[in-house]
Amino acid sequence: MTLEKHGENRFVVPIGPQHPALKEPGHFEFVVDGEIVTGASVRLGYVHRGIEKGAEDRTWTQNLYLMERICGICSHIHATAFVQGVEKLAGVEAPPRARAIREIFAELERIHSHMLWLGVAAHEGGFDALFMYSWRDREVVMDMLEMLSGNRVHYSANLIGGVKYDLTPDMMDKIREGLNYLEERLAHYLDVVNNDETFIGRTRGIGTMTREQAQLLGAVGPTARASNFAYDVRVDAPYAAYAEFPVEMVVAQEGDLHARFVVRILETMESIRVLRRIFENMPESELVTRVPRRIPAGETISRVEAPRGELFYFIASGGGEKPERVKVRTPSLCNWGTVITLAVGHKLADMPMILAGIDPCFSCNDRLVMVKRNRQDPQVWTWADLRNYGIEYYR
Amino acid sequence: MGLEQKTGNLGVVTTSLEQVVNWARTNSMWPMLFGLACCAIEMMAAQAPAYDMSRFGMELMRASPRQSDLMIVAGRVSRKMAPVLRQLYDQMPDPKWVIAMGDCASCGGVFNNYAIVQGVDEVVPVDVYVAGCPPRPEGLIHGVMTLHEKVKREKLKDWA
Amino acid sequence: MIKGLLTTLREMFQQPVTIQYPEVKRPVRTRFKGRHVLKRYENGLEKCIGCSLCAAACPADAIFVESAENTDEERYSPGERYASTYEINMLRCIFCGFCEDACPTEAIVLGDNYELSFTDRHQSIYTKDMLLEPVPPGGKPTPQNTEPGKYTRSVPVMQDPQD
Repeated sequence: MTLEKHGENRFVVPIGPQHPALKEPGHFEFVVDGEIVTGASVRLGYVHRGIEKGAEDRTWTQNLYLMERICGICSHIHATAFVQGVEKLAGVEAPPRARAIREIFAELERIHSHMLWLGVAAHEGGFDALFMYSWRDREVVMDMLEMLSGNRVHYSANLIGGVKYDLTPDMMDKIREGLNYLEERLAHYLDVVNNDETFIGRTRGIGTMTREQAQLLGAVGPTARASNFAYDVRVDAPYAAYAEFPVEMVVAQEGDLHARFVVRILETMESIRVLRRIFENMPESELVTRVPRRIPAGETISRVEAPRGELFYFIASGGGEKPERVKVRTPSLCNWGTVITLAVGHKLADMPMILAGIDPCFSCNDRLVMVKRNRQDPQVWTWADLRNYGIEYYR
Repeated sequence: MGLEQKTGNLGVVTTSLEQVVNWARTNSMWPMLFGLACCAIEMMAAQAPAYDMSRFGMELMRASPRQSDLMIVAGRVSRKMAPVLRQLYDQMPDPKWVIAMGDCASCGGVFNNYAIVQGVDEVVPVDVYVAGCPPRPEGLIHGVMTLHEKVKREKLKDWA
Repeated sequence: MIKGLLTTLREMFQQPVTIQYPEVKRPVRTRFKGRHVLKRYENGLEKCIGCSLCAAACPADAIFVESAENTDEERYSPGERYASTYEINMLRCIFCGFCEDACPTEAIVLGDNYELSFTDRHQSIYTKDMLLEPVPPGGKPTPQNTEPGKYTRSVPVMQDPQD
């Protein structure tokens, strides 16, 4: 993603890697003509961690915990995507109750992710009161997740062949109570988003993306659904317990920032509705099925709907205790292209909002894979080589 | 500060001055808005109403390093990010402190590999390490309290 | 605008939600994963048998275990062996709880302590003395002098593990 020449007297505004807009590092360059942006480029890679390479050096179960750490917001869904792929390879299926619990975790995570985003996006728009409110209410979800799993961010709830934590009726009551409170608050936020004039002024008509653009640029998740592009893995290809407890797709027509706010808040309410339905008909079964330590050789893909959109895993097994190859494609990466296009024609002051509008997650992006030694010798580096290289580098 | 070199040891005056300055420093430490990964979420949660770091005079997350005293390195520092981090640290005015929040910033954590700096103390001097993956907001606040204890023990001679 | 101010007015009369952390500590949930604790049996013997399964399981390589032989005169744990060195680097540990799952004797448990901040990286290495829980009432500190043939099984017969 490089900039073309925009004439002799172009002016480039560089932003980042450390920047006031978002809390994770990324570098942006906006070409401006006065106040109006005429071109944009993104440079990523500041949080590259070598996770995919690291996965090849850990056992299947250890990888669960590694995969969770890809993203600090949607950690459970990463582990779910991985574990579903591995289960597919091993030819087992998680028991119904385990699948339902996975869905509960995923939906709770979606609630907390969307509320987090609501706060951050409002903060970018200079509406700090909403940030404080939504983060206050987010603590309710965080408390639920801590009650369920014991951790606030990386729940480590999944196991290959099931889940680790059961849900007691007592916990369900507490979660229901919290959900009632959240639903009330979310209705209030929806009211604020729809009726607050300053807020509408900052969001309506900004960053409008048509359905064709969304399709062309490969947008996924709520960003695409706000542009009337109805695509949701939970509906189109149900996984976990989504076949038994389906969700309804939330789609908006306008495609601007305001529509993205509305879609995400409505999606959160939909999650609450689904959670209540699961609690009513919680299937009874054990939590884990036995899975052999060595996963049979083969290749598979696994798709899930993360809070930000479609998350895609490719897993190859060589029949051993460790995966041969894991490839992750995260929703944030798909959505970056839209930012570059949408930025053109808007004022520079709208950029933080447009950036925040896709709900970017930088740590999701950076997963460079092929490291070549040199042109003559196109051999791919092994994990041990890379580690030695790292040790030498620091010496 | 150079005060002691000029006036010699003033005994009780410098001791009280020490206490006053250290008290002032602990009570208005502005952190820099610098999140890198998962820990940034918990850092923001610590800023949010439920934990409210402004009780410790940490009202504002300053986006500019020029206005901040405390750098909370929240998350893993990749090798690409390390020079940026150092530059930000150099731009901060003295006195400045660094908290390495979480496992990855403190020693690489689970990412024991080529891409991640194995502990941010290879790049900048770290005052307090906070363990956890990520630490709870309470854990971060405990780290801040540890830093306060450390700052309160600082001597006039060290500033000069 | 008046509507907005009404919201402000309404919120003014609500209870503040802030947890006054250093003074008031919110109790953690029962499933919370905090600092590890090495458990003991009721008679004071250590549950850990030094099998290193936790060290092998750990995704972050945070645990180091070295084991030595038990004798009846100097008995630390039931069975043949005990952990002579047990170190956890808290700055490496990612608090995932896989060591708990791997442990055959339920010796290692993730506790409730989350106040882990250090001014030096060396302080973060918790040794066995720091991790072991105190001797329960009625028990004796280890090493104990036990009668021969009593503690031959290293893994006890257990019911279903709880939370």
